[in-house]
Amino acid sequence: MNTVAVYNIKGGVGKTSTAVNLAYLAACEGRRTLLWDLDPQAAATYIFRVRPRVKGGGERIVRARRPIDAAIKGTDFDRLDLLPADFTYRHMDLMLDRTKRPTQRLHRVLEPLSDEYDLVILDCPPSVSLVSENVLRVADTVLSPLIPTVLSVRTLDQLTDFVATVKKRPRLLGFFSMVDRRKRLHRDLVEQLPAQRSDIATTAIPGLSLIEQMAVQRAPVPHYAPRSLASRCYQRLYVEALDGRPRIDSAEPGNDH
Amino acid sequence: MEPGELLFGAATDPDQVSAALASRYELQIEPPTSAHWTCLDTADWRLHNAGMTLRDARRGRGRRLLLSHGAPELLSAPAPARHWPRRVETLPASPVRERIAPAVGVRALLPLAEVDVRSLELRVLDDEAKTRVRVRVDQQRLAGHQHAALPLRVVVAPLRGYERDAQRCAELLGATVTPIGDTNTAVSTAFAAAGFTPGQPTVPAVQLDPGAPTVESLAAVLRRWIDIIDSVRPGVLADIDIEYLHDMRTAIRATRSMLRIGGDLLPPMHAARFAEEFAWLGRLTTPMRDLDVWLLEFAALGGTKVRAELADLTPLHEHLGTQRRRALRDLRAGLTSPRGSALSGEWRTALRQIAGSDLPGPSTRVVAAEHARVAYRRIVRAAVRVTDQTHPDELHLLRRRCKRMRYLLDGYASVYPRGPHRDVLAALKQLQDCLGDIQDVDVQRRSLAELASTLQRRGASADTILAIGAMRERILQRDAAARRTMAHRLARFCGPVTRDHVVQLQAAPE
Repeated sequence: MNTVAVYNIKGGVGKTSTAVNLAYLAACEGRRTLLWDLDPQAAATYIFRVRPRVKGGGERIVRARRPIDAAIKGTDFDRLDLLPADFTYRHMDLMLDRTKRPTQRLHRVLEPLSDEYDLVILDCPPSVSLVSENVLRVADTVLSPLIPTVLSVRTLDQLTDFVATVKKRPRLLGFFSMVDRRKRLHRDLVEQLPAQRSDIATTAIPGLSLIEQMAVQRAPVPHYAPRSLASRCYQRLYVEALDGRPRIDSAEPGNDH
Repeated sequence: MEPGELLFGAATDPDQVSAALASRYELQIEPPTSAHWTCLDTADWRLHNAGMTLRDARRGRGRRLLLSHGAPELLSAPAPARHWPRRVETLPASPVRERIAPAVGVRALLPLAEVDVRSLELRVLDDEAKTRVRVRVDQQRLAGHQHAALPLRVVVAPLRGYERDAQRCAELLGATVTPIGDTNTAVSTAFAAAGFTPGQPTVPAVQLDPGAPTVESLAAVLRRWIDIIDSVRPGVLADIDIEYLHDMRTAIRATRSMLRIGGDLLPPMHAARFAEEFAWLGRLTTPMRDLDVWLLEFAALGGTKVRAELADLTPLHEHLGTQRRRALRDLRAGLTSPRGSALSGEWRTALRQIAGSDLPGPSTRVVAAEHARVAYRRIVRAAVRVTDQTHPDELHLLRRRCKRMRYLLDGYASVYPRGPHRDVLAALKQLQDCLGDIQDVDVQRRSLAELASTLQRRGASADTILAIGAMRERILQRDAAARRTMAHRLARFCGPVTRDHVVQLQAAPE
């Protein structure tokens, strides 16, 4: 099981869009995928039309009082399941703090699923907290969306320092998100930085209203606009960041029955 | 039933299903799609008997193998590029292959029914327009010239976490549209429509009248064996799997054995002539079967430590493969020769004459019981001379006596009382298995010596010859183990309990 965290200290940088679209592309490719919406705002949960509620709240999951698989919901797409957000996740730091080995808790929670899923994507809340520490310990890859500004790049450096505090370091990969090609600074950073830094992906995700429509369509972009520029960009990011196969035409298979 | 599967009468309209669901739920109906299924099983229904169904499902350009195996979800794997029949080991490695291999063994998967399917997918939505349950409605028709309509198949598949919703949908459908029972699967109904009875042998057992003249019953038993020979003949010629030949040889041996036991009841001309004909047929099949057993031995070594040590046996394996191709060619030539082609027809004509002849004689029950008693006595007489040093040739004679008794018990099964028949048969089978092992070992030991000299003459490496030696060692270990078991089984078979059961065979059947 490969675990990928989509994480940034800042909010509103395209974490949920990335997590949802990459999870969908992985499922289309045939990977058994679980998306865990860790953000109490529950945006990913909303997009997949699932109720943002976990029986017993986050406490029961974190303290392993209830098997995690009982909380998982199937999405409308084959091989893609969701562990929904719950408003109690806003207290997850406190919940984790009350457990033994609080920084390794998510690792223990996800362990039983290792045979069931090929890929777990964590849609993380924006913060530096005990939750983030857990995420860095459980993730094999941390994908960090960056808006092309100087401050964002500085944020990536902060994140790199944060990752360096973890014993078993995950691979950290930043990528530019919400890119506005009309802005010179955006163009310059997108063209120059990936060439200078190996921890920034060459793929950039444009800031398009089509992506914003995910909350209206309540579906991943490659599902409702499979041949759009946005879909192609996410597909490229999927290939670059998650070793996916370079194809977009993988039709959603119906159920096997 | 497959997971979530419901079957309704063939005349049920799919609209009835959607109307029933729409009365309570928000539905989204997807455009109809079509598919084609090839329903698979072995000739002796090994998947069915193991509670599994297997389909090669073609939808659009995609083909998948779908296995229902009693679990809540189907197992699925890419279907092989080439078509059916196929042996399991030729399928691409997958969880499906892994699951079916122990049940299927050496048998080939046959395409027993072809079904055209028109599917409608209904999505049961909640108030967020989220799919909670998928309902697939399959209108099925048997493909080909029969084109019979099959039951309407409905599969209610919950999305994970919404199992209760699926249960409610299934209950609603069960209450509003009447299902046709829960013992059949779509695959089993397709088999039935294609003319098969899943789980039943191709040639059913004969039901004899215990009071009927023996000659009439003997003809019926012999007719069943020739039915079996004819039914497996195409499989032998096409070399579909090795069990066709095995079944043919069993039927030949049984025929010869019954001719020997009951030959005095038949016109002497018939008995002598056909005894010779079936002996010829048996000899024709022997080389091929011996090679099949050899190659099975190789397959059994696969993946074991011994196999790894015996990597130098490849030349031997190739040599056996070449010999098998030759043996198959000779077998085909024999079976399709004028003699091989005419045998079945002539034998059937003779059997009709025998059954129609008004020969006087005792009833089947009396003769069958007497034959069983004599057969048992002969085995016991031979058995008392057996020690752990007895030569394999002598054990072979004992085995042949056991086989004769076995064919007798099989052929006249319906005229013996059930309990004693079952007990005697069980003890006999155990003894036969053990004697069979010892004989296989002996044949293989001799063949290995011959093969080693052949390969040596052809310049095989010293490693190959040494590897054959190692294989011989392994075979001899099996011989020792089988002989240890034999002593116990002989004691059981010749002991007072089985002897009493044999005496009880003379009682009338229940």
